[in-house]
Amino acid sequence: MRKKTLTIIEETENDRKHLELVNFCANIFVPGSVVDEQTGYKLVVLEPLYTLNIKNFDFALLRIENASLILVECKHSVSDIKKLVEDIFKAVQETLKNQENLENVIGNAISQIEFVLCVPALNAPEIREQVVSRDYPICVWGFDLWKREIRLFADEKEIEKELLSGRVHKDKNLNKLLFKGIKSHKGFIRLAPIIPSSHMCTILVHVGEILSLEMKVPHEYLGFQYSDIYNVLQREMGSFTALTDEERATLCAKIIETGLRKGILHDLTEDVKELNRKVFQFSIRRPKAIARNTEKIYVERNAQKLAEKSVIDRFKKETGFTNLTAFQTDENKTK
Amino acid sequence: MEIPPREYTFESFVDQFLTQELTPFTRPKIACFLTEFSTWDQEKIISLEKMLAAYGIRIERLGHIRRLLARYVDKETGTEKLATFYAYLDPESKLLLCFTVEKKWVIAQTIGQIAQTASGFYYLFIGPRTFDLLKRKILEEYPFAKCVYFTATYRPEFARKSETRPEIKKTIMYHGEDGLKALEELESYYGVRPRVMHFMIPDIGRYEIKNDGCVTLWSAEDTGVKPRKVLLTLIDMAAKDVLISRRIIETSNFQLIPIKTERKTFEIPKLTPWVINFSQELRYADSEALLHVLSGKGYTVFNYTQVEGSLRLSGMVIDHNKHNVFTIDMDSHKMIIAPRGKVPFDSFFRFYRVITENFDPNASCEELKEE
Repeated sequence: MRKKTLTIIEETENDRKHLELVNFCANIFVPGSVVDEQTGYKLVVLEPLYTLNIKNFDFALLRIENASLILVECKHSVSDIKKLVEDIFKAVQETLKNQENLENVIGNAISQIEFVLCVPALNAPEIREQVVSRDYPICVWGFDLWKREIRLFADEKEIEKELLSGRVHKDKNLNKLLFKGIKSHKGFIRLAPIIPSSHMCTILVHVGEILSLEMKVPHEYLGFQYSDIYNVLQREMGSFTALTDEERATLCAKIIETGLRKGILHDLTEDVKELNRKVFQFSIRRPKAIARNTEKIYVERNAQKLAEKSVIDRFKKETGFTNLTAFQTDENKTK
Repeated sequence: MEIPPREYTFESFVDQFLTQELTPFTRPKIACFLTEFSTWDQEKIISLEKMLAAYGIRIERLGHIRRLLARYVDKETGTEKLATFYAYLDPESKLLLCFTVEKKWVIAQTIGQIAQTASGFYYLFIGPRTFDLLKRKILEEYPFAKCVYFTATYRPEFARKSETRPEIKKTIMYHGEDGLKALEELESYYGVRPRVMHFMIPDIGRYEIKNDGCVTLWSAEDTGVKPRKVLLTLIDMAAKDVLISRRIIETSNFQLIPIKTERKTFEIPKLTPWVINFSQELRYADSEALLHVLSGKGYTVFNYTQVEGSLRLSGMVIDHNKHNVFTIDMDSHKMIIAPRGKVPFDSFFRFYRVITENFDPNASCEELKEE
């Protein structure tokens, strides 16, 4: 059980590190930044392909003047380099097949797309080696969180060759800045506190905190409704993600469903069937304890579920039975 | 203190205050508050008058001055009483100066309560750095002035550890004409930093300066108007320094920048942060101590990442007292703080106070430098 708890904690920590890195990079490209002023590339949308079910690419930079798009995938840590590079290349191919859909998401024609894999600077040379050896059109950015800097890893002396292979950017000014290294003076502050693909625990904690803030202490007994969560999602990530209203509604229902299942939320209106008329409440009503409690319950319940699954899997493996009923039937026969 | 009711300008009120006969055994004081109001009743959404009234304060107009009457429960008798303040709102600095003879605990129970939770209203917080500056300025102006009393505190969460038993919280109250020297020594041995200081200015009077922006004329050595005039001078000295910090904090901003493509408009959040510079290099244990301090002072830090090695801590923060949300990014030298939505200055000022009072008394704030 302890091992499973650690697994869940690690999962949520990894999600937060990823969120931290996405914000770190996004801060560099906000409208009005040095990069925007010198190249025209600016952050336009986070997780642009979420609605197209292509998991990769955390944010899109657009140079509106020439409809040039850059899709960036951030990896805060890398274990299997070959697999990572292959996965990204598959995502590149998928994206190219879906260019028209992507244009609808962005709301703009796209004249060219460049792809970026942003990885720890320590791993960047090795990853670039893989990219070059497979001749994939992927630019490799290396980030250094201590220096608070991102840099383009490419052969500056062979710029024409690199350009043809899609491993440097077509925009010379952007290359110049990235070769030199772009510092993020805003660091890791969260312009996006949650993104659509964030871990459910991260989303539940954030939504819970914002709701508790809006309810304020004297009204802590009051419940909240589906529409309250929907509005929080709209406000916290509605304007800069590609989530449609339907997807936001789906995410909203998923938050409620998970919250209820894990015991983080209570349904105060069990007799009411329509989701949007139901009233919910946090199982811990002290606003200061919501984040800690949500996280604690989430981790405990998931660890318990994982532990149960692990016991059943071991049982199946050791006994050869596929389910408990089959085992019981067999046992009765023996008797 | 019963000031004759009539229409006052600030100047005519000050003239009246300087010569006003006081009830025996009372001490005149000025409690100063930072506000986001430049008028009493002209603000669009909520005015200062409405806000104070919402907290049960009765307001009477005396020209540019307002007489504020606030209910409180007397500690000794348990009966309800009325506290009186004569308040002037400076339209430029947005400072609210409350002239009174009420006791400090009465101020804390009345207007002080409002500063704890109201939006756009906070103490003129005098941090240890401002105390240092005040000390220098007082000595420049009155070379024979002496610090004769102080209260100073050390917390185990302080980044700069006490040389002596650093794990023990300490509060030292010191009486003696060598207060300044003693404070230096005690700062060095026990890591304590001042919260209250008394200065004796020869032939004028003894003054108490408290970290919540309240200055009291403890005793006068001159029967003329000078002792009370100096009260105003001391408030002015403190306010000048605090307002610099306020201006820095107010450079922070949250904007949604519309980005128009051919068929859509996205709105990208642009966060403009402010910075707290720590006075010394911090370690991982310090970030743990800071999290502990914040949770004890009405903050929740959530969805954060905390990394050892060269320290890094970033995440979201809720201020439960002032009901705001913001984001922080801290390393071993500084903390970047940015609003995630509309955050009035007082919420950030409270945060700055919590950091300087409980974690790094010598921390300073500055605007974020674009590199």
